[in-house]
Amino acid sequence: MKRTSKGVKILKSVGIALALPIIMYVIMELLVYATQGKHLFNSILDIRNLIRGAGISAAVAFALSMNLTSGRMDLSLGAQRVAGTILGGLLAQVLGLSGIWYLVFAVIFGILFGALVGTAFVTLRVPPMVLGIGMACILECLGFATSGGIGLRIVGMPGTEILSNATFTIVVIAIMVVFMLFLMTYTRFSYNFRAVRGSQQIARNSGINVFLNVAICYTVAGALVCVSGILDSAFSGSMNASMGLTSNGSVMANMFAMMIGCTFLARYINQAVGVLSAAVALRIFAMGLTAFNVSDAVSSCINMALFIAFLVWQANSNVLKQRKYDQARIAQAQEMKRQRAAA
Amino acid sequence: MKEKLNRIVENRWFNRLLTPAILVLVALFFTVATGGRFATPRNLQLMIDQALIVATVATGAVFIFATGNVNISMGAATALIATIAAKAYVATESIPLMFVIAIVAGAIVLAITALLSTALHVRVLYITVVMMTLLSSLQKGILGSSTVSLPYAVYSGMKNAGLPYIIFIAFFILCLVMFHFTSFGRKLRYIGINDTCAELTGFKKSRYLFWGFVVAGVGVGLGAILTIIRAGSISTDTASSLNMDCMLAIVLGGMSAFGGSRSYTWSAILGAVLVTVLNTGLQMMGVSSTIIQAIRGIIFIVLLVMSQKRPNGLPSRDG
Amino acid sequence: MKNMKRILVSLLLVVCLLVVCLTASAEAPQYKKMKIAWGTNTTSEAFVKMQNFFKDVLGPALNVEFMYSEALTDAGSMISFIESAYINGCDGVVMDLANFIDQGAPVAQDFGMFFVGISSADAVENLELPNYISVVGASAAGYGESYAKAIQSVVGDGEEHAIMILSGAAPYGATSFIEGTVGSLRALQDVYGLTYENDLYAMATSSTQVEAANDKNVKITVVPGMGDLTATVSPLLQTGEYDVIVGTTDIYSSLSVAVDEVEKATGKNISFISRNVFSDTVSTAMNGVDSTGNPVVDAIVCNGTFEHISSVVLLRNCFDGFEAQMRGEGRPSRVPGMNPLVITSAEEYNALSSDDMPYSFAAIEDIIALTSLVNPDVTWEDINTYGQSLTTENILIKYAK
Repeated sequence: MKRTSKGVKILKSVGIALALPIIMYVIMELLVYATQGKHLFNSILDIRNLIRGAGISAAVAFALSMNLTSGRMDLSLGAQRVAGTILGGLLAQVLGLSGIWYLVFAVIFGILFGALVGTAFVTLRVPPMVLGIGMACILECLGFATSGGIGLRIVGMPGTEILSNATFTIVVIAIMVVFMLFLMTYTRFSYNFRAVRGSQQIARNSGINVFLNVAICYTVAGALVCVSGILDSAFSGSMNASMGLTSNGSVMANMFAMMIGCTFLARYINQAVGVLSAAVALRIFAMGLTAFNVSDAVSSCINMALFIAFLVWQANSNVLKQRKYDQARIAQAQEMKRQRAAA
Repeated sequence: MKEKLNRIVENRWFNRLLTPAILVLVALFFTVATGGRFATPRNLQLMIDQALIVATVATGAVFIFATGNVNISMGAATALIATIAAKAYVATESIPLMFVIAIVAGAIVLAITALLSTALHVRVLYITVVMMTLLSSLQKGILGSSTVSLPYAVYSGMKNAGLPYIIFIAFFILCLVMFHFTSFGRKLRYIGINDTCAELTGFKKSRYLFWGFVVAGVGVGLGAILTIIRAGSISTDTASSLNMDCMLAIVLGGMSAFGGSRSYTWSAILGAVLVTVLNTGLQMMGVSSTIIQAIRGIIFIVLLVMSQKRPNGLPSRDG
Repeated sequence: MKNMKRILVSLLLVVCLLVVCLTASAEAPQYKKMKIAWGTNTTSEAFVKMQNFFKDVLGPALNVEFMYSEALTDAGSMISFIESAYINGCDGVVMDLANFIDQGAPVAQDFGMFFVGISSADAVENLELPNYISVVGASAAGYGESYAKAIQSVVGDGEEHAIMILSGAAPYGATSFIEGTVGSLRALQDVYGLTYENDLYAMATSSTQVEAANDKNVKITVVPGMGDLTATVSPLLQTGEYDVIVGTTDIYSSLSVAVDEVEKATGKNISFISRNVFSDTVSTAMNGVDSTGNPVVDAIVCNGTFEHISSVVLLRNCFDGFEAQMRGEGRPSRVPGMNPLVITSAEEYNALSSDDMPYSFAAIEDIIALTSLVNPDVTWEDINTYGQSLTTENILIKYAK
């Protein structure tokens, strides 16, 4: 009996996880076919590109979720991504190592930078957004100076073909999702994470090392953005060394997926799966907009308008429910009062 | 010893004088190190000129920072308003109209941002992140495939007439009075100290937050005008680093990163000048621009830590 | 006829240099120390190469010290940099920020510094300012010509082709991108003898994808954008309709993986024309073959670097008191110099990128010969003529082993 209910639960979760991308696909396919007379996906390559793009977005969204869901906005995440990817890639190049090592070293640097920012935060205890600006100044400079301003060039480098191989990318993304699923569901860290998110004071009183937990959040986020950084630069050929605190743009672009996954889908399914599902759905939406041939500016405006609508709905869905409930109670009280008066 | 240090850090005069003292010391150091070349009147004027746009926008942003909130769409808003205002000038050739449009549009854009948060209950942090991208995309859409430029005679005329100084000083005095000598400013700071307590005392947080955003919007409008006067040309990259510069300036200027009672309008100008003094001085000493950014980051973090007492727990506010 | 022209140009070049060398003193003159502020819009590999050349060769030779900006993006940051240049004691400014050079010139003028802008378009404002010396950089028409040559080398085989032109930053008003796109469209016009239904510039600056409809029904599509190109381009390529892709920016770096995947999936070769600089990456691409056995990159349009040299020489001469000869008649001179190089084969690429080649293919003796202290009669036109002589053909002849 118990086994059956668990099976149903899993099936239900899978259904919910697939629902958003499928709904999005159906809507966009219908719209694209009706207006453009063509299909959203033309070949298996389109689907592979979808998974690859969504995976790269999901990695950044996971990283954002480590801190943002607890109200900590880390503005150095983009700089960690740029510096970690460049330094990791350059080290692998200097040592003459093959593609996988680019990823390994980038993750190591990501862990180092994430841990650095996290340790600075728990030690100095200044607002994370403000600390992020200072750390971004330093990390951007590190990535820029180390590469002489050039950044990391992967295209054409011997032994790096594997990094842009779609199958390899999908395997890395799968490992990352499984890791996040495990980390955020079955570990002590995840329980502590949720406790700290709920109330720092209560978590502390119940014996949780809040500082350690938060530092780990930063460390994991650092590693994740570097995974996305390497996969992204392998596909697009390079990672430019940003300066002037401009590195955070690519990270912010994935906030919508994080919000849908962590604040909406997480109510019904595992957060990690929710983020991935949201990333896939948004990627399909973006492909639809591309098929409509709208300009970058219009596409971005549509995305952000939807994001605002989502935030407003999220913030007010309870308000409407509460108002309905209050009205019912008032009506009930008035009815009682009338009945009493009549009696 | 630790307690003594804490007491010094907590002292309001230490807090108020820390940045001005550092600014003077840094300026003196660079003057000596460059054999006096640093502190010529012309150089000092140029450094102030460079700081003026950041100082104006950041002065307005103090009204948001004071409440413990952060708006990271100030740069994008300034770029959008500058585009609208410059286009308005090109269409009408009327400078007064350009001014009015910039100020009104600035106030409206930030009022919308505030309303999304106060009336529709979306967290300020989230809404400003979204607005940053939205406003930037709108600017690209409006600007299209070109840059908007004003005739040289027009913008240089305004510059030579000292209009940037007049605009900044007028706005600064207005903000100074409103923030430090009226109940409006006090209530904003109170919200920054403890918003729940402020609500319970009877201050409607959403109303004060809204007006705080409107004042910041006026700052954005004026910042947009100063951008036009300084550059004479607006492109999709205009004011791209302004947002971060404002946050850097406010915190470097000695204002608490948490807002509240240690919020000062003069932080903006002090911080903005300190950034340009550091940039210029280090450049004169032959430090590369790449390294300057890292030095700026380190000094920023050091000053941030020095200017406030370390809390026992982690900062729990958004941001 | 073509050979004759080549020989004539080479002879002219040799005569010019001989005259210059004869008038020059035997020893390099004692240049007074000067400082140039260099404002850049990018900190790419090409910029680093230029910095190294300035530091190791040109700076010591002409006694010039350089101060560099961060990557400048807008007029505000440009003005701050010029102000910093004045504070740091610079004597001249080179501004590589095409859209804003007319705004930069009066700022430099206020501080008494000479100003040279780098752009593919000529100056239009503040022409009367005496310190606004010159606008250097390959002309818009030059970019057009180079793209036309590159396209001709790929589609001029008499076969039917379907072409995708990536217009890059053209929708944001970048002139070299606009001209690259327009030049490509014009080249196709010549090759196929077709007539477009729409205006060339409107198509080049469109912010959305446009079909360049024409009377011969040749499939030509203009795709704008600099961001995530793969999302836009990959689905289009997968239709199997396109077999030539032309980039007004470095599309080899950003699209080679996506194109390779499409080639593998469709089994069809897609010819690649990209805008690049000399680098190890491009060298591998030019010398390699793709999954269909064809060259990875079929042709590249290589940004000219002579503008880096000409701007320094112009400022050096102004500083030495010869500004009248460096400025045009009552306005800044226009020194397009060298057109972007067109390289259509691995052999050409290997020869031009050889380690023996001087920076921008200009020997340091030639550069010194263009300075006014060596040759007081030199004018901006001489500098321009020298730059224009640096074509792929002439360089290969000049430096042939």
